[in-house]
Amino acid sequence: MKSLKRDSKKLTELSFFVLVFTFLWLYFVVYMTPSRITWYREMKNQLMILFRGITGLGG
Amino acid sequence: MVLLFLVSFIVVNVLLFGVADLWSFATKRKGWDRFVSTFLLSVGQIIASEFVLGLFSLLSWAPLVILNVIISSASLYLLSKTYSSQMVRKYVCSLPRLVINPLKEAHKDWQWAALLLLCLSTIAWVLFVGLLFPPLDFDGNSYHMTFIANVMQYGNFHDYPTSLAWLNGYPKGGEFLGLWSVVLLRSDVLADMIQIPFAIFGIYALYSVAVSLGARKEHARFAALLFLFVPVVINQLKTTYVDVMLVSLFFGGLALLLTKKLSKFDYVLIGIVFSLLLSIKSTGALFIAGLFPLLLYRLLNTGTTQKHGWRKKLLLPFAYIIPPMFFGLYWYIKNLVMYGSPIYPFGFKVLGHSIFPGKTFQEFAADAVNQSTVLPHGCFNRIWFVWTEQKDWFGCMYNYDTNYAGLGPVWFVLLIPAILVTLFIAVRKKSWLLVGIGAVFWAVFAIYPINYYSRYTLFIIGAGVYSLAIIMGLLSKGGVRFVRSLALALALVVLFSNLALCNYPFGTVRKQFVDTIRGAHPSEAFDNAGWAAFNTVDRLSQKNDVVAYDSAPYFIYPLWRADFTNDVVYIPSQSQADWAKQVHAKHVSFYLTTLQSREHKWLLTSSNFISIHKDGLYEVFEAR
Repeated sequence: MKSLKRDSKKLTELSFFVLVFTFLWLYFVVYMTPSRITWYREMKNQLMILFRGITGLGG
Repeated sequence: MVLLFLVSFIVVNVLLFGVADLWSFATKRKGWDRFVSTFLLSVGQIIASEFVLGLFSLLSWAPLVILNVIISSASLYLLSKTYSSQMVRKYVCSLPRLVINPLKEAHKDWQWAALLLLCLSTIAWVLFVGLLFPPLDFDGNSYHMTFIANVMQYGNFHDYPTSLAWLNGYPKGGEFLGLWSVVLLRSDVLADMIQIPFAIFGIYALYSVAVSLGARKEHARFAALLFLFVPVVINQLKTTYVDVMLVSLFFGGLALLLTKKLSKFDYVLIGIVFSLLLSIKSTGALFIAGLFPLLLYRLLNTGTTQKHGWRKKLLLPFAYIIPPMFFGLYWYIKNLVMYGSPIYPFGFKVLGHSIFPGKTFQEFAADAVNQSTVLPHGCFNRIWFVWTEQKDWFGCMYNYDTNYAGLGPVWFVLLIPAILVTLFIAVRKKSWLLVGIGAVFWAVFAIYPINYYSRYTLFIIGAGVYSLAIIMGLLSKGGVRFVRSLALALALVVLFSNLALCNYPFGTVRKQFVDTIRGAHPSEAFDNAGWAAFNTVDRLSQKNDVVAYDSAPYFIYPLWRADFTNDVVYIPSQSQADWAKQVHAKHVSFYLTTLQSREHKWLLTSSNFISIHKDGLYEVFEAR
């Protein structure tokens, strides 16, 4: 009985992680559209501005 | 004067929240029970005092301060009569524990501590940006803040002539909460951050829901914090929008209904939640409809004795639930009496038959969205398109109000799988409460108008949060560590892709910061936002000047001076002669018009006004 419960728990864990990796792949690979990439570039650009701002203030 | 307003704001709030919390402590409420009672009692007092004063056109700084000091002092006196003086000492001694206990937990659980730190940093950043910039969101400057400024102008919350149907039609629960700081400080500096305490309320409510549904506390508190890492939540925290407020109250209602034993006081709190849901947005009624089956189930199964028949079991609690709902119902009764439809400016149809006149919400939304949209046709296709975030919105991936951005990667990657697996387990284990709660979420989602729109349906995150908390209890230690690490990584992606809150890139924030330090006029922020027309009016308008807006306005609120000492009016008229007479009678000094309005045409031919500003959207006229 105990081993059955353990197997069932492992199956739940396995199913959950299969779904997580599938959705991760869908989100960051399948649907990584040009507008998303542009936006992530802009995000990086903004972080650089913030970084320069902070280091500038420090100097 | 500024110092006086600030001191009064702090004193009144400390008294208000302190007495409410003392009462919750004295009645031996702990954890979520104490938090929800303190929070809702305080919110209830704020709204009730504003409503009573507004009804008699007395809603201004001094009466509001005096009334609330009287209410809080009277409550304190009653508490001191009912409970021993030792209780106050115990209460004061217990306060440090509110900080020490979470710190101890954080010390034991570094991943939760890291997520909590990210949450606090996000809130701190939003507060910083919020303090620097005035309210700049679309709906806020259109009608949320305009209502608040109207109250500042007239001292009441009655309807006044306007060309914006939303301004009079929209229920005003959210605005009443935003109004609190504006009246007490005579400034809008905190008005667009009122959703921050509600986001915290939502997080705590989700924690309570997850624990009530069987999740372990350490998993529930981790999963609940993920509510903040939904892009639309972060973006709305510095706006006068009300969507975060609305869903947080839905979570609060759910958490209350899942409390083990409901007391008479809990019924009053449920009444306050229902009242707020109704008064914040008309779609709040859908959340009440969603909570209602659970309420009925609880009422039928929690009678104190068997001698009470089902009628008493059902009817007695409603004697406590219905009275606080008066505030929420007021706006619908007022609209029905004045405009013929309780949900004005919308009408209502059942099976194609008009019950109340006007366009339905669905028709309105379909017209607005279908005009120029890249969204695919088909309900599920639209939801998938939005949730996979395939399109930006005016140069931003995320915004407080966007047709295309979904609920972010935390939702898509972690919470959707958690919902699917939890649902499967719940059915397999015949956990009908879990199935029922899931059904509430999905039923509301299914009937919610334009449900691909992430700001309308962000409540669905709640189902993901409690599901993830439950799932984490079923994973191995390594599995939990991995899920938590992934959640942290995705939270960082959300955080960094939302720090600019779409409208506040770091260059703009820096410029505004420098401008603020050098003591620039507050309206210069409008220049930074590209609203030069409003800057023109704000700079030239003097105390007691009358500023008018036209029949096709975008924004109205920025026409008020920052200290609310001028008057803003709309002059309803169909003929130029009548309009000119009224303009003269009301001593209008400035007129802001959009280029397509009839007033714009009339002003161009008027010899009494001269154009002082023109851009692609607006023309501003000044009386000669």
